[in-house]
Amino acid sequence: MKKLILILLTVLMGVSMAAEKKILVAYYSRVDENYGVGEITKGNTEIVAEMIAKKTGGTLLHVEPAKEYPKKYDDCINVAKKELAQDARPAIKPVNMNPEEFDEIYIGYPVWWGEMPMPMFTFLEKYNLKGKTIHPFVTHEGSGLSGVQRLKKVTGANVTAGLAIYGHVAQNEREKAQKEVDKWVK
Amino acid sequence: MFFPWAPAHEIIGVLLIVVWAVHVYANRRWFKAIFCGRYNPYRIVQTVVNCVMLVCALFLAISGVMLSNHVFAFLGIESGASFARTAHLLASHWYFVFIALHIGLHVNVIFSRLGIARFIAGASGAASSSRGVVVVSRIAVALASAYGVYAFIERGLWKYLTLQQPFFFMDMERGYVLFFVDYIAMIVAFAVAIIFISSLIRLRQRG
Repeated sequence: MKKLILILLTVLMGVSMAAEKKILVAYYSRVDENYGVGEITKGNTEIVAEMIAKKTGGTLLHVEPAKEYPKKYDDCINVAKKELAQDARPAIKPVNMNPEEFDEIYIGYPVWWGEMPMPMFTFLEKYNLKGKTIHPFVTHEGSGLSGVQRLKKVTGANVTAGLAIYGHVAQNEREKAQKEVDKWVK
Repeated sequence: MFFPWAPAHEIIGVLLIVVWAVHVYANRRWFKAIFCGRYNPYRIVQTVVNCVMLVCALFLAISGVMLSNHVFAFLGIESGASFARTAHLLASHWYFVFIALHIGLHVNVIFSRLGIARFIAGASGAASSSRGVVVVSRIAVALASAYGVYAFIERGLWKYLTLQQPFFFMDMERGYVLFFVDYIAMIVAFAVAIIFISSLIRLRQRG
């Protein structure tokens, strides 16, 4: 009898674990001086990423470039523009998990020159995400949900309708941002 | 992004600057005469419009070269992107408005070159039933202008003109067709407004 219960429990656990989707929230976010919010110590995209991870029970992954961007906004966008022009793949810090092992992936980034910051390309191209479900979310100051076309192209994933939140809203009006996240994450 | 293929933006920009240069060169006599003769209110309006356009075009071209990631990439400009980005956004939107005013001030020339004036005049000069062409075209222009005003507000153009909207937003849900329809309607609205204002000025001058 004890054995039977044990077997039943193991099967049940196995089933419930299989039913639970593994969710990853991978993002790039930058602190220091930013447009519309000034000097910040927590990135706008990071704030949104944490809200999403909390709501979905997902695992957070901060994609970090090996070489930090300049702290001043104007200097940073000059570097970012050059990287975009050269279609560069800036090196990123080692990642200790494999996105391929997740069922659903949330990809977050600030919109830079209408696209993803280039370290996100470095990150995404390391893995085979073809056919995976990707939910994009961005922070911006007016351009809206940008960079999704190249996200689709570079991953070949099934990219769903994304979420665009103003950077200054994520930074300074967190309740409003939380509402937008709650509405988007179903 | 408005352009699915990024270099298209720069190539079209360069082509437009070439067209602009040809247009300015072809009308160089206007610039030479700028300090000659007397200025009446109508000429003042025309001169202000043209000079604002000239400033916008210069800012647009210079910032465009600075922002270029493809066509002018060989110049190796690596700074000033923040200034250039803002200048490009502001200059392009003010240029758009003033091009519409410029079109309005020269609508007679444009229509006569295209044979539209003759078409309407011919129609109205002929049988009385053809007067309908004039009425219909006026109603069409009035409707297009009204829609242009709506599009101007709906797309928040005033926000771009005043930097309340510091980054360009391409509404993909509305798509490209509606984008062009809206912007052309806005041109009609501004053109009609300046035609109306300048005809008032001319009436006062005569009176």
